[in-house]
Amino acid sequence: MTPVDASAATTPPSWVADVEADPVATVDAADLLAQGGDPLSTVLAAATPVPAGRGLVVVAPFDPVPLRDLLATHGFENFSRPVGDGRYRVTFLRVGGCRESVASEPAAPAQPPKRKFWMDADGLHLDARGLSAPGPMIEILRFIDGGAHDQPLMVHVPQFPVHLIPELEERGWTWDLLDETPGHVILRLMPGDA
Amino acid sequence: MVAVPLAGAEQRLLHPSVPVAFFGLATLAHLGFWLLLAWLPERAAVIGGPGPGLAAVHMLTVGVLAAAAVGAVLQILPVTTMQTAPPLWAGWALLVLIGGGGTLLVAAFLTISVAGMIAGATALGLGLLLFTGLLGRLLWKGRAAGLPDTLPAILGAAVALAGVVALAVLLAADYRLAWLPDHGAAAAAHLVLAGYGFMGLLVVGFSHILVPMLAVAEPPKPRAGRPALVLAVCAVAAAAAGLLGGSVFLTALGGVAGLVASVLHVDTMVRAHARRMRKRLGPSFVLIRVSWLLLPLSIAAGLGALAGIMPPLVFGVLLLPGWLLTILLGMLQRILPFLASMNTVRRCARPASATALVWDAPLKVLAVLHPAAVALLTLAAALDAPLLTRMAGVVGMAGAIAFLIHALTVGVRALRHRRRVGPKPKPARPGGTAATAA
Repeated sequence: MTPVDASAATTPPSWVADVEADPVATVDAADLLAQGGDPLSTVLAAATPVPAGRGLVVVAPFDPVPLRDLLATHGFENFSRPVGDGRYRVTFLRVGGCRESVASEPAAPAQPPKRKFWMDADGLHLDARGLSAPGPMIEILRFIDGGAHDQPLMVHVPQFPVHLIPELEERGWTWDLLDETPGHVILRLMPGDA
Repeated sequence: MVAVPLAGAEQRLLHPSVPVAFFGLATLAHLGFWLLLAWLPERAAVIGGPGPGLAAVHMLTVGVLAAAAVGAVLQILPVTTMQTAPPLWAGWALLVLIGGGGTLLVAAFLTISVAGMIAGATALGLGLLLFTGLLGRLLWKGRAAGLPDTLPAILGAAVALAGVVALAVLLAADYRLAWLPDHGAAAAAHLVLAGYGFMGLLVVGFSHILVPMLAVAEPPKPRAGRPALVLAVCAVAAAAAGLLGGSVFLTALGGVAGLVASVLHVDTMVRAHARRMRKRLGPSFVLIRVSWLLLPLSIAAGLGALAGIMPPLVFGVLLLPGWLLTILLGMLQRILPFLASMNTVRRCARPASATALVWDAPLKVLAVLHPAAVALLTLAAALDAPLLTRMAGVVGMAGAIAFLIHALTVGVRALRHRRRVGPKPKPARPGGTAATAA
């Protein structure tokens, strides 16, 4: 489930210069947000007609990890780098083979991403981002209360869940903060007897 | 609705000094309100003024309710609509104008100083107008967030607040200029606009966010609160217009509409919290549930007062220390540790759990003493019994001290936590990961 992400490289891949030279669209999420717009819908609408081998550019007031994850599921590679003043410039490239499947879909408004589970070396992951509050908290508690899992659980949430923590403690679960970036916090939750 | 966190959580938090100052003011004024009732029971629990009666009312409405509302709204609205919080200077300007103006106004009512009343009302009015402007800006910039049951209610509250301020200045100046045809009617309209219009609509709007959040429940369906909100806005407008225009029929119509709206709102909230996942609701929901009972009761008492079969003071008690103060204490006792916990996320190497910041004992005491004080004060108002008023004041003071201990405990424990775990390390690279393993 890890998105195709070239950002770990210190130098941009060669396709970045190609996309930057002639992007299909450039979206400034900070401006959209300031005007009260919905950047996610705008970016998805702009990404839909992008053919394979072409790309688009998004400028955001932080590294937009949820957006990068979402477009990765639509067949986009991405490269993100800070450009100063806390802003990030993310270049997306549509890789081959995805154009038809996405382009044939109507340009629908953004839909909430489905709850995502996957196994990794450190255990089961649950991605509860993309839900408005208190959705992430309810998703996680519903899963825990279901009793189907009694091993450590890695949860991905949009921000540190201050309201969730007391509920976990009430249920005898403990927690560790593993990672924290704007829009993406990862916690490891452990049942009391684990 | 898809929520994409485009503004970092840190930018949505006010500088901690702003909520601490507003909530600190509210906590101290809460104590002052009950102290005044215990100290001057014959003169503080009365309708009309100027004098200790109006001082006590404004200690509660401005010092407690408005101060807490300003602090809470300026913090909660940016978080829920994912936008940057107002700057520090705006918070402190509001504190100086509202806290200073309110203090001057209460002192002027106590000492019956007309010049002080006019000066205090003007400073307070300027502060509340500045707050209205900030509120309007937050609403406009946050409109994309949706919240169809919350933002329209807050807009209604902002409009009502403008009316409250206008009437307040007119009422204060009337002590010198005597230009109002019916001072009492204008004061009653001021009370309705402030109690049910400004504070009431804020409570209705934020309940759609806070009740599910605090009870860990699915929120009501979008627009589930729309009928109650529309009816409530019409009710407040009709009642205020009826009082100002001398129309008992219109006032009564507003009261009946408000009663229906209150039942609809409480029904929505009860249904929402019935779907909760939180195992123990705790003392906060004792107060919140009591407040749900007091809301329709206060309106019924208002209708009774209008019909001349109920002392008007009972209406005032059930509305102000009854519904509004009770729900405020219920929600604020939970907001304080969560807000402190959010600030430890921003400032500490490891966040503090809200549970670890709370000492349950004072909250359990408050859950018993506050309803008892309201019950005693209601009885005192109904029977015109100063001894009961004094008892209510003493019991309320004990509850207020319990709340003060709760607030201090949260603050001290948050500071201790920061000393224990250290400050948050700076990111290794610009905008990079600030990983903190526990």
